[in-house]
Amino acid sequence: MFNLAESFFTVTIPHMSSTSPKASMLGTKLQTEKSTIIAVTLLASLIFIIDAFLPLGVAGGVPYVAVILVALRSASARLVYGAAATCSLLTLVDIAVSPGPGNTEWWKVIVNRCLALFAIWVTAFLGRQRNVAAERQRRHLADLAHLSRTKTAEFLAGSLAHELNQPLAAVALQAEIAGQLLAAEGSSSLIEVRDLLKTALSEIAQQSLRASMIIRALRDLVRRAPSERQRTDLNALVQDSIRLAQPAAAHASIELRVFADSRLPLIEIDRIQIQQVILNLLQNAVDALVMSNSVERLISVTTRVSESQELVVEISDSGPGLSQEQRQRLFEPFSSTKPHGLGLGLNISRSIIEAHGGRLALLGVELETTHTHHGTRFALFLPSG
Amino acid sequence: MMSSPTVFLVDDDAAVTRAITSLASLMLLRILPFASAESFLAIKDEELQNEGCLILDIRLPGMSGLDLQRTLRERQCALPVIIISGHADVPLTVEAMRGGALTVLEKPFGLEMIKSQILRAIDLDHQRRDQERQRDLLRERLNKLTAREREVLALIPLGLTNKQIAAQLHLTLRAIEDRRARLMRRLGVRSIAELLLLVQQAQATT
Repeated sequence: MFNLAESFFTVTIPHMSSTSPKASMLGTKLQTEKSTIIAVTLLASLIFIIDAFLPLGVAGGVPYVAVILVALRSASARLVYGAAATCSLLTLVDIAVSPGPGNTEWWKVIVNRCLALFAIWVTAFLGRQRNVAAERQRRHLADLAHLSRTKTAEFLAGSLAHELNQPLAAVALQAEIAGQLLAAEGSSSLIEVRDLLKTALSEIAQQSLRASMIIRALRDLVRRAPSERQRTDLNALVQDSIRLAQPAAAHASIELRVFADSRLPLIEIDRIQIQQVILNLLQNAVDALVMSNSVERLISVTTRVSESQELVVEISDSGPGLSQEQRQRLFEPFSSTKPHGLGLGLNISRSIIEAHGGRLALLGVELETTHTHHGTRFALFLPSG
Repeated sequence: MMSSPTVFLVDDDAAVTRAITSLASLMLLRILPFASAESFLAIKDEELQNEGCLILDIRLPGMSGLDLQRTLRERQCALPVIIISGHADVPLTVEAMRGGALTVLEKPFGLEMIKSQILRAIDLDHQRRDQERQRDLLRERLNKLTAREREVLALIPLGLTNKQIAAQLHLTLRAIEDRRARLMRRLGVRSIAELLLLVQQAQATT
């Protein structure tokens, strides 16, 4: 019923699908709301019609509970209570339009109707309570996620500031070189000066863009954005994360390698939160390599589609791996192997992935006999559909 | 021997390298850029015989700038070092300066700033090489002295009189006077003061 209404809606208003991600996001939200209203209306009408043909003695009002359950798919309290009020009204109106009480006494009819009203309102109230709790939990996770994200940002900020100064240094120098070239125009050949000037100016433009990209990436990370899901290219997200983590890794002389599966379908996720998980895993890998002082310093990030059609991002490092005890306490809150760790990173990461219907797992825990292939391998699985 | 001064640049950032390369050509200096400390260390010793300076980024892939600075010091390479860094905090700066860096510049820096530091570094290197050359000449001259003349020369700076030297070497006063005159002639000095200065210069460490 619900899906039918949804497809009905998309057919009638095709112009709702917009190109801008924000507008399309708003569009999907509005679309779900409207399709819920249509489903509620259709279902309520159907029940009313059936109820109208049945004798009043039958408790025909009770199926309205189904209408409320459908209405509860929306987060809007107004929609749920509106539906409950409408269903109550319909239950009472039915007394007037139905063929009559049949062989049931009137007081039983009244009690039946009241029971139906009771069922409708109890469902509405309890359902709303559940919705509110779920919403609160979601916001709670978003807050925690933001907290841990600022921790990640802190980790990245130093190296990113360093990274930012590179293009700035190039811009500052090239601009002054251009000025000197202009001043020296008379002394050397005009064509040569023009070529050098062109180089300096294009270098200024390129490096300014490079600087702004670094700033944008960091700003996205610390922004306290409401949890929004949008269709995302997971490979692009991984690349963005790598770009953010690259300076920190380079500082620790760590090589980052990416193996991206180009056949990955788009996926509806909260970009910032999933990026946070990827960054958190990268940060853990960097820390593990730095703390263990490993000789071989390599982090590989792989994306692929699993056999059960899940999208997988795998992050593995060439560090010493985890001990039995560390593995057991992996997701425990406030347990950390780092001197300044909050011990929340993996815990929050797992909550984020689970909120997306996926799972976060430590792979390859079985001890391998050769010493060459130890290290830690995490994977996040996200449902593709 | 006297080719134009060389700026050695070790920085892993391509954009910064391009900018400093442009600057060096504007200053009519030869520039040799390297993306890592390791690749710089792989160059031949003859290259380092050239007058010049080293511009060194602290944060590098693999061996760090400070490590390279240390290695060069151990190899007794006296090339003046200008440290550049995207994030020059105090401990890093202190370590770099203690390691003998000429200066530490934080990126981004102005053109005049780096230009003047490069010129200063090259000038210092030039002076140092001049002194070294002079010292080598002096040592050469000292080496030409005979063993007997050197015996006498070793005792003059101690403030001994000819008589005392004669006593210590079991020689006649006449013989000492002879040797002394001969060695002063050979070294081309006319007074005892000049002789002492020459000895001091020759003994000066690098």
